[in-house]
Amino acid sequence: MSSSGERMTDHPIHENHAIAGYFGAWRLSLRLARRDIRRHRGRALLVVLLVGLPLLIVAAGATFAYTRDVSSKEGLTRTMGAAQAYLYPVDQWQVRQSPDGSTTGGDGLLPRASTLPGARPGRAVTAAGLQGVTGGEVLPVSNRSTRVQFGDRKISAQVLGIDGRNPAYRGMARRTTGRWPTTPDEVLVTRAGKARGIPSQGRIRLSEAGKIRAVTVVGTAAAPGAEALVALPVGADGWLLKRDTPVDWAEVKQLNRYGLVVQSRSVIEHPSQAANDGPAQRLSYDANPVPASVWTLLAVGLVIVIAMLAGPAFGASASRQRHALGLLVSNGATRPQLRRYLLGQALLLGAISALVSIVAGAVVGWAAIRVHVAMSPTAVAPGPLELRWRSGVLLLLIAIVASLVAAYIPAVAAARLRLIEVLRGQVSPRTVRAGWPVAGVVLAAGGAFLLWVAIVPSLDAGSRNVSNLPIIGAIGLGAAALFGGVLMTTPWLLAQLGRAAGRFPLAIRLAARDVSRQRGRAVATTAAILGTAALCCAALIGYATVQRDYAAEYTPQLPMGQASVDLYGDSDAAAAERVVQKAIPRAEIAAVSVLGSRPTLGTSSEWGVAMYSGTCTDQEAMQAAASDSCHIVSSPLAGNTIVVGDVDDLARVFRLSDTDRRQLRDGRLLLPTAGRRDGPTPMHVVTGTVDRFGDDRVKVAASKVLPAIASTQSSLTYAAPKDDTYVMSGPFPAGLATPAAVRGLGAVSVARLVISAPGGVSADAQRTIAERIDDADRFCVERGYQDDNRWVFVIIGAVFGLLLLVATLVSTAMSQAESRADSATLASIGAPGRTRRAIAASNAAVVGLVGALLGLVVGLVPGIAAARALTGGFGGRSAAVIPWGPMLAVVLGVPLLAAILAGLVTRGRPPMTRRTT
Amino acid sequence: MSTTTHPALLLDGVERTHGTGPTAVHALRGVSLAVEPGELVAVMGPSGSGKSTLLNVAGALDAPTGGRVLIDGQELSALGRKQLDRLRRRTMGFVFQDLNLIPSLTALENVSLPLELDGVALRTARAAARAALDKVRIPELADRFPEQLSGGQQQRAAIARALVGDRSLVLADEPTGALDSTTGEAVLRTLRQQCDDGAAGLLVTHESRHAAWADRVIFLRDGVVVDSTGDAATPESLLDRVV
Repeated sequence: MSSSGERMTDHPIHENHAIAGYFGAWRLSLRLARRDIRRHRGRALLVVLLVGLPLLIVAAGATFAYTRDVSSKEGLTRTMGAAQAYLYPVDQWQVRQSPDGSTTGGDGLLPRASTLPGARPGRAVTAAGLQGVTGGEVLPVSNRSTRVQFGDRKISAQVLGIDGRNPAYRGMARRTTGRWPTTPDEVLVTRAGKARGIPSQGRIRLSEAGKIRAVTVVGTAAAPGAEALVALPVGADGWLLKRDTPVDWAEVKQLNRYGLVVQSRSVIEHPSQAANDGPAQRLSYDANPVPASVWTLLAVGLVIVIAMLAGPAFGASASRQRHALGLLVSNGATRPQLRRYLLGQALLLGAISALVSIVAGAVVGWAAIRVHVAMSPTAVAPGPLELRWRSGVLLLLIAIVASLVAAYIPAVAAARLRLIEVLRGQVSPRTVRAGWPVAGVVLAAGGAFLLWVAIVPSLDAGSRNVSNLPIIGAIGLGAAALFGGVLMTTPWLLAQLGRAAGRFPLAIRLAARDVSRQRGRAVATTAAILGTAALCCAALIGYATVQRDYAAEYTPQLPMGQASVDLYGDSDAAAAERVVQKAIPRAEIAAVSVLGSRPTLGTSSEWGVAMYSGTCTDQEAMQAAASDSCHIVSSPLAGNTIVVGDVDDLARVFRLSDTDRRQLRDGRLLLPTAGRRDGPTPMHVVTGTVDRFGDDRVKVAASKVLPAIASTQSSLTYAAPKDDTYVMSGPFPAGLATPAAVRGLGAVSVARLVISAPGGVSADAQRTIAERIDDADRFCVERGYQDDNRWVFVIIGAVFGLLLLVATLVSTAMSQAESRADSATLASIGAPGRTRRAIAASNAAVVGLVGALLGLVVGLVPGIAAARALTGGFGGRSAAVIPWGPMLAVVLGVPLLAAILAGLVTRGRPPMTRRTT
Repeated sequence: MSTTTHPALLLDGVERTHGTGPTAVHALRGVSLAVEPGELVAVMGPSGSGKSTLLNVAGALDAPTGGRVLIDGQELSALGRKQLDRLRRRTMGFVFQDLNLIPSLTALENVSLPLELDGVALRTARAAARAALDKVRIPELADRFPEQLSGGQQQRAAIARALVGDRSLVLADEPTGALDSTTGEAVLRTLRQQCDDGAAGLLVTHESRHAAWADRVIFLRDGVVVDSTGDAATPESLLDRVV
């Protein structure tokens, strides 16, 4: 009021402006929330941690992934050094490429590539031709696979061919010691090469396309592409274009006509040049982003996880603010205003959590990258630290939404306070609404039924498609009804627990009664624990059932504990045998050979065998293009071959009958029954090469007619192994023969070593052989079905267990904080410190166990349903696998762990007087 | 109940200073006091005179910074933490102004709490608690939770808890502060009755009519006993001494 007695404003104080009032109320709520957060830093810190922890993990993961991923722009130096562009030919056709040149293809076939000016038609692209058309200097770059031999080892490796002395190549590799190679017989060994065992000095041998040459290691280098060796270019897989002027998009398109893919520095740095080129844009990686639905699902998942974690904390926090809320009500605050007061805190805390987590996540992600680089020398080098502000904004929104979701139910519950009780400091349990438990049971049963029928009928109809919208909707509705129904019965269950606690030991009685009295908070915690435990159990049941099916379908390839080595390319069978013999001196090694040679690295030609008994040419049989009169038994296209070996070895591997052994000894070609012709049949056996990438061009090497006879067994494939026999995996053997029978048909090469170790191959021997054997070979030890994804079990248990643990501990901590006065009372009447600890432990155990056991019950339904969906009706088996061990470890073990932790960290002696100093 | 010749409670030159240096607050300065079995002693004084601190120190809730406190002849400073706990469970009981019952326990369970904490069998503890409730005349309220009891009923339950198990010393800090006058009188009558039955009681109050229930009244001002000679003659005479 002014001194004149007039109002200070023309507007009446209580004039109602709805919108202004709404925002004004939020302003007040946020101001109160901000001050409350400042005053109760511990409580705020806890919520920030709970909201921020998942965000931190996501932010760290995103930073790691974005940084490790090397974009075209980030990879400019490693791709083209200091040059203007990197060009390479891909085919005889013109090229349609994305602006950065990382993708080619597109709609429709393009015309044949033009010949470079000055070159003869059909000639490959040459440096001179390129120089002519680009007007710059072109420098060769090669990047090829090779076999590196050093000591008694032989490994496959990638060699980067550049001339490091030329500044144009600068950045494609960095010399760390020694000097750059000056001749083709010199190489640098990179960090990746050293990690794979290649010596960083002396001489090593390289094997390329069957030719072996010795080279000298003249130093070491770091190659961002993780190639093992750096040498002078061998030929050219591509060229760097060195000139003063940039290569613009128009020139890229021009060069595409010569069948060249062009990675241009200018276009990559300024991709807008190609903005109007629709077909090129469609090839761009950015044109096919992750669908919005996937991002939505991930965001919703993150919101749910955060809400589950932080929900109990907000619940406890709201209940601790009852007195403040009571004072607000006594001053005329409405329920919506009370809700806003609590939601304002959630909003602020969510935003603070997000900001802290994003920064911390970026730091953690960057640290993880450094650790990754240090620990993975053979991995491609990451790009520079990459932070995406859009992802940051998304995380901020997720944090705020999740906090509001987590705080909403506690806020609604807290806003319905009884003023007199609150101001007196009393907490009286609300009466459980009559009919709710029954309604809850009915709803839960309905949900379980809906969940089941949503999945089972589609399976019974032979369809495993549970992805259509009505079924997904029914599954979601069923799960929600099941979850909600059980939650509706929870207050009643908690009340019963409190009533039944009269004869319990003191600590458990107090905990049970506390849970029973504080049902609002307890139900929020129980919901979080229940949901987590249910998801965990469902996931474990689904996973265990799938694994059971995999295990049942597994066919052992060798007697248990025995081993085999499959040989590929130019790997040395004798060397492999020596490695095995050295590791297992008493091992018996049987060599299984095939007709022809193994595929050789660097060539597209493969050896093949054809067999026919009719009338056609060898060429036609090899191409499998003959008429029916050819009676082709086997062709290279089928990928089959003739297994060659001593009669006894073959008999042992394939468990041949005496009759079959006799046939082999008589020099006959033994065929499976599937290829039976009446009586011994003259069989044309043709060997040669087939060029897989050259229109299947065939080159016949040799041909011979052999007397063939059908085996007494239907096929020459595996059966269940016995201890004294081996089975033959790999290509289907089209026939068996002795070396004498196939003489003249070309080389016979060892394809597999079958190892019989007395007592089986030990883990030590397995490790030794795996380390020493040529990395082109495949060494296997039969250990039965191995659940390689066992870690999935561990991760499921660990993640859900952690969520359970956090929810339980938060609830317990808040409960303990609330009952400080009771603790002081207990201490004043002589309760020892262990009693308070026991009460805290019991609180954690009761809250955790109630939620987790309910979660176990709820999780069984979707778990079994999921198991059915994943295994197609259990694959004919009768029931889902319930992994009780891991499930109980989570639902019993975690609450008990929480109880132990709560007991350990609880202070035994609270201050009994207000003033302690 | 103690049968020795020791006072149930003896404070000898007790001092309690909170903080140090210029901000130090001397809550008690050389307070000496003896409470015999069967005696109810009232402590009066204005706010900040050190009444509650005296009670806390007497009950081993707080440690004195000088002097000695003996309960049943045992010097508290010589006792370890566990022995002090045992003393609180077996020898003395507290009655607080703010009705400190555990809300999640029934009246019977609250009363039997010290015995349960002491390892007494549940059945025995509950029987003793029932007897204690009987003594304070609320046996029919045994199964009610604190929020289902009136203030006076809660305070009686608190007195029953302070006395259950044959304990000999009751320390009551403004036990009627939260009660109306009629209920407060009833509570004090109960406390008086317990002392008449042989317990020793130390009652902190600032109301002279409540102090009149005591056998003896001592007056504190600024942490010093200014008068410990008077018996509780009439409320009016007590009031005169306080003023």
